[in-house]
Amino acid sequence: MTTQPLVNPSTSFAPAPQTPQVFLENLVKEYGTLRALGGVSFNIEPGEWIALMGPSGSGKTTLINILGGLDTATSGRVTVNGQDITRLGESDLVRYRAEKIGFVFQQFHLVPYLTALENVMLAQYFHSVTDESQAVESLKRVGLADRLEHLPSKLSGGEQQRVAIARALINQPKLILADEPTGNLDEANEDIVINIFRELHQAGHTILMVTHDVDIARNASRRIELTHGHLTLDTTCNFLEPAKLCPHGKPFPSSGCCSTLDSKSCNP
Amino acid sequence: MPNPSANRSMFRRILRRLLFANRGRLFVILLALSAGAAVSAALLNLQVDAKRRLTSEFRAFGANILVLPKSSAASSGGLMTETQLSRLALPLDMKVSIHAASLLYTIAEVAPGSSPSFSPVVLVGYAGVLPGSAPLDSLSQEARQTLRGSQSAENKSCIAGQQVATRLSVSAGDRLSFRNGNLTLGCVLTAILKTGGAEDGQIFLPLLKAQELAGKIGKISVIQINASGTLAQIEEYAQTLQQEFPELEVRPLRQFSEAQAKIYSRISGLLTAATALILALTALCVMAAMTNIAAERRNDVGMMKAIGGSARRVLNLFLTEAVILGLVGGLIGAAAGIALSVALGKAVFGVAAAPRLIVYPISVSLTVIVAILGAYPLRRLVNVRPATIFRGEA
Repeated sequence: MTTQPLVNPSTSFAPAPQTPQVFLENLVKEYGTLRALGGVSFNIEPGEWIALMGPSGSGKTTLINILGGLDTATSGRVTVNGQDITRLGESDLVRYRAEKIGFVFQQFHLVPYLTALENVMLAQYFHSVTDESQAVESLKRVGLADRLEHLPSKLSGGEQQRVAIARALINQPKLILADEPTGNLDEANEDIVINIFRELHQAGHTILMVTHDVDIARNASRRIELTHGHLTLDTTCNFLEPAKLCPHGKPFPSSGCCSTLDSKSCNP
Repeated sequence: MPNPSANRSMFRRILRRLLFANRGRLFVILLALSAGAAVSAALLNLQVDAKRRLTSEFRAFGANILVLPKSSAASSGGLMTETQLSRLALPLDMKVSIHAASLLYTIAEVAPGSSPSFSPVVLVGYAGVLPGSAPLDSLSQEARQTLRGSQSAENKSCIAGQQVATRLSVSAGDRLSFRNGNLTLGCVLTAILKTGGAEDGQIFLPLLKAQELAGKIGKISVIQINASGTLAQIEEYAQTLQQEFPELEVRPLRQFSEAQAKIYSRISGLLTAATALILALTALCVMAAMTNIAAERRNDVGMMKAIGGSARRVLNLFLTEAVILGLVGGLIGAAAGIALSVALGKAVFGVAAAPRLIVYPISVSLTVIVAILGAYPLRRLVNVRPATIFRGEA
């Protein structure tokens, strides 16, 4: 497969450095009596690639949904590019999702009766104005120049995920949220997709990616782990050595690891 | 520079995909809408045509207004002059449609062919009155035509009631001779009439012939009028006639007029109810299919909302899809329905219904409305929450 550079050099995606792009402050999400997120706080700097990890039910998807404006927080604040999204109404959240977020899902979530090209153009259509040549270019960048008119059912899983990535990127979002983007892919397609994310990262995109796979997480510049809705690890370790986990409520073993987690959060 | 018309083009593109995403379902919905449109268009066409059709039916039953000489007018010998008839057309600007005939009743003697044995019989001279209006009463169309065909001296046709024909042992094609004092007349029997009424004992002649035989040129006994319209319209027409002919007695046959108005109102109501029922059933069929579609599209809608599609824009797509389905179904169905009504009209009323152009746009519009109402289940998609869909909870 040949892919073109994912990012137009003239286009800047990242805000000015040193300014956190995302602030999460004491984020709580409750479903009835179930507390999915129990007061999560962290910042995301522009251009970071964060691997969001943790066991099933730890609140990863809930966190990414709130950050993407798909769900609302019970309490706490989420500020993205200076905008507190917890205060946004439904119509503002729609604009927020269209303009600032690029979603990549594990299940791809392509519209089955639209072609690859139309799926990408659909995001343009909801954002502002469709531009077919731009959409074609976007698909070429993920190596699908010869699959433009294919329906999702005629594409492999990897190809569908690449269409989803092209769709996520078409409106040049500030933040890419990927929920286990390789979860349904074989190894070959996983490599292709991760390479695309690597290129996006190198081009300055901010990526928050939920994954269970430590090998995939090693590509990220930072790793955050949730357990039972609490932040238990926030590290910029390069994962050359197995990460040292911080079980919920236990002191975080900071020695030998370049954790950025506030020591007060883990130490008694 | 992006072209804003590109969005309209994309809108059409998505619509096309939506419509043809499931051809089987598309066919079912179009079939339901077309069938609904066809039946409702047929019924509407019949309804619009019903007045004309019922009028022609009721005309066969005879008059609902009689114009007679006043009983006190002994000086006229119980007859009217034909010159009075010219004023009959005066109130025609009213909303009723008029069909009328003038008749002269007289007693004469009749014998078959050249037989010398004459016997008395009631002769009825008959003629249509108003230009362009068909004569009425129980005579068949053919019989009326025979008599109306020519009022000239050359027209020697006559029609005998069945009782008279049996009594005289004559059949169509035989000659009859009439005698009234010194006056004699011959005619060729063109038809035998069987109504089960008084006409069966009478012989019908062209009015002029009857007048000659009776020696009452220019005289008539009665004008029979069939006025069609609502009861109030018919009453109003009768009153206007009475004012116009103060020397005559205008006698509306109220019972008959009431029955006519009632039947028209009932048939019209029945057709309206049937049309409403058909449209409601069509809406239910479409609703069932749309409920299915709504369930299928939850994921798509969740995804569209996730990538920035507002509920309004997404719903617009689906509603436009419904409008297109309604429009196509309506255009096909209504055309078929109007054709169907022509056949139905023939079966029900014995005369083909005239296609009424106004029915077509009305029927298509109704089908579009039905399609939009049928798409009601799609409204639930407005409330789809992407996060809920992606969690697999919906």
